[in-house]
Amino acid sequence: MNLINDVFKHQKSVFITYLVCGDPDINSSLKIMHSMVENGVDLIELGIPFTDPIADGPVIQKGIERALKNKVSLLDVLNLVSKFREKNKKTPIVLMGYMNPIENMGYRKFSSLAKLKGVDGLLIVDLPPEEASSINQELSKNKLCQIFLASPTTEDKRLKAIANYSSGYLYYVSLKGITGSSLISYKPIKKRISQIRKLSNNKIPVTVGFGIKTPEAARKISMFSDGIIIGSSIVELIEKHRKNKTLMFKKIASFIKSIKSSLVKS
Amino acid sequence: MEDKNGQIQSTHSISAGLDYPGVGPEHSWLKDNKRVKYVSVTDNEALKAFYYLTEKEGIIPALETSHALAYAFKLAKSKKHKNILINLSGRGDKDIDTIASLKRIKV
Repeated sequence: MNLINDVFKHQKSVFITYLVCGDPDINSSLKIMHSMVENGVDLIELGIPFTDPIADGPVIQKGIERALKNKVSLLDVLNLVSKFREKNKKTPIVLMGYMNPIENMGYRKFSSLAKLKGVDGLLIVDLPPEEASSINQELSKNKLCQIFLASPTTEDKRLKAIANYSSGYLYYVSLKGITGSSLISYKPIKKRISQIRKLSNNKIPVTVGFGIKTPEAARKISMFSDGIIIGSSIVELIEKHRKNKTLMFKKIASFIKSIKSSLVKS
Repeated sequence: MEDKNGQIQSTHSISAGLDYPGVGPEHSWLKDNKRVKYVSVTDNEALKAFYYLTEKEGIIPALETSHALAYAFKLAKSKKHKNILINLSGRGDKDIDTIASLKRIKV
């Protein structure tokens, strides 16, 4: 069984965090990942830096720029995962990014390397599920999950298809916008999630990301979803404190703790 | 246009409409079919063509189209073709600001 399926089976509300690989540098990314787990994170989405991150807001864009300045490539991202796996064989890792670097490496090579290095799933932001069958074949061969996004404007028919294509979990984008935007209200999200559950016959866990910044928001959303995803708030802490790494690690750890303690436990 | 790791490369062109690191699928198809031959001209050649048409004909071409004009002038010199047809798409009045700032003129 894939580690992703495992974590959703055992956790009432799965706590997912995002960071850009190589922001502010590769060694810090590794440290942050271990610290995330120590402080309660259940699943890590590791961002593959890409020059044209169309779904990301300014905070994550700047994080990606810092990583690209360090010349972090897709291969470096995969190598970081295997480094992480030297000490942690339990926490699922999902690579999140855009199609071009993966297309460039080739689906077959990417999928087998990802498996070899200890990756559990892949989320390609700019790959519509309708176009995903050829990469999905390679991922499936290697028992890697493929996660897709659904948004407030996704129509029911397509939602059903997306739930079908997805494995591991489904990432519901809480708002019409980019990463780092602010959430406005919970009600429509709650309604939408119960719709998704119905359309997918409860076959796939539904997580919520984009706009979750506070323990309060995390708690509310954890009451009606299978997991919450936090990205921009962490990348923001990296940006703010990257000149003083000790402080940066501390701030990230305490922020993660505060979110973790707010989540619904049973 | 990408580097060896699949990162998109930055581009430069004097014309905003060409300052873009991709090629549409239809163009790729036409090139592979050999139905269209694709060539390039420099910023300077395009600018020269821009001034030429503006001054001689009173028609301000778009900077994108100026590239086509510049190549047509080269082609005409070879005297291999009796008639050359140029599609003068777009309009150059949108590019006046670009030209002005190149000439350090305030508009």
